[in-house]
Amino acid sequence: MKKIIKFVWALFFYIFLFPVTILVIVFGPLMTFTDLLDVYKLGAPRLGMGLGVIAFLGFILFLSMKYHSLSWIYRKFPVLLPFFQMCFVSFIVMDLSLTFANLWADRMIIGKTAAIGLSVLTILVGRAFLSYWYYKYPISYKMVR
Amino acid sequence: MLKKTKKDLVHDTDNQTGFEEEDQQPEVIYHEHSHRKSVFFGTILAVVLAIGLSMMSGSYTSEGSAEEVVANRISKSTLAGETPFTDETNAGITAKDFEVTVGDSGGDAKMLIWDFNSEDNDEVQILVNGQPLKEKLILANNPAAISIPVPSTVTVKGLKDQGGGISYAVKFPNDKVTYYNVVGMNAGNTYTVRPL
Repeated sequence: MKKIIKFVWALFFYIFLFPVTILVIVFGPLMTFTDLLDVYKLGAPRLGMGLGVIAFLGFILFLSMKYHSLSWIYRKFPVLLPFFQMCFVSFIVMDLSLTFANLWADRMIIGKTAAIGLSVLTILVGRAFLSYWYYKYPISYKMVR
Repeated sequence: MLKKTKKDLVHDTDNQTGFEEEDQQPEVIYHEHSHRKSVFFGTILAVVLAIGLSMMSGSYTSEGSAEEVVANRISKSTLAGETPFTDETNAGITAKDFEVTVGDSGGDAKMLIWDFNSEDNDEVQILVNGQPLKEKLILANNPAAISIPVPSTVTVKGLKDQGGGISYAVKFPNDKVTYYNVVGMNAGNTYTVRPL
């Protein structure tokens, strides 16, 4: 019975929750980056996805990595695990960067130079974090079979 | 040592009863647990930042329901590009002229204009002191930025209505105020912009 529930939950997860989550997590950073460029090019703010939504997507991603019944895709394609993690971290970084851009374009709390500085700094810190992370925890397959 | 092994065994049996099955599974890649942990802490960080930022910047929802905010016409907490309505409704507001006081930065001020309900490509013309500044502007959910002189009279004139009326929101970031408005075909709303 427990197995059936697990199977149905996994099926629901892989049909309804996971595909959308992954689509947004993979393409989100790119879309947010184009939004960021638009903000500085046009001087008009852009609403990002919002960190609340990103947190929710991150939670779904975390579930897929934590529970064995849901991590089928990583057993098939192990490289997806660090790839999604990388996209997720980039997404948070890009959204923060866009928030700083909007502080200038929408709310005029900070100047344009300060906003550009903060945006670039955020992206650089995020990038440095990823470099450090994969230096500390390199991606390599386990030869199990 | 023996004690520890016993404890581990107990822990393992505990795990079998619950949902924590992952510990018994071999890692798919090296450092899988670390990668997963970073996603977990990233999620926590995003939640904390989301709460912190929402307290700092807010959104139109802090002033009431969509209907109320638009009916009140003037909002201080709307973020540019926010769309209270997703369909072509506008809380029944009528065309209105506004007097705007902005803290200008060197004689210029920024004006943001966007479609606050469904994006149906309505077209408007923007005139400053009677002279066209933008011959044609297609209203979108993403705000367009226009630089206007202060003082001046800005007129938003309706050019093309794709149905449901031309509803739009105008925001002057210099004083963080948003005005919800509608304009008829070939009619105009004026915004008399004055310095502080």
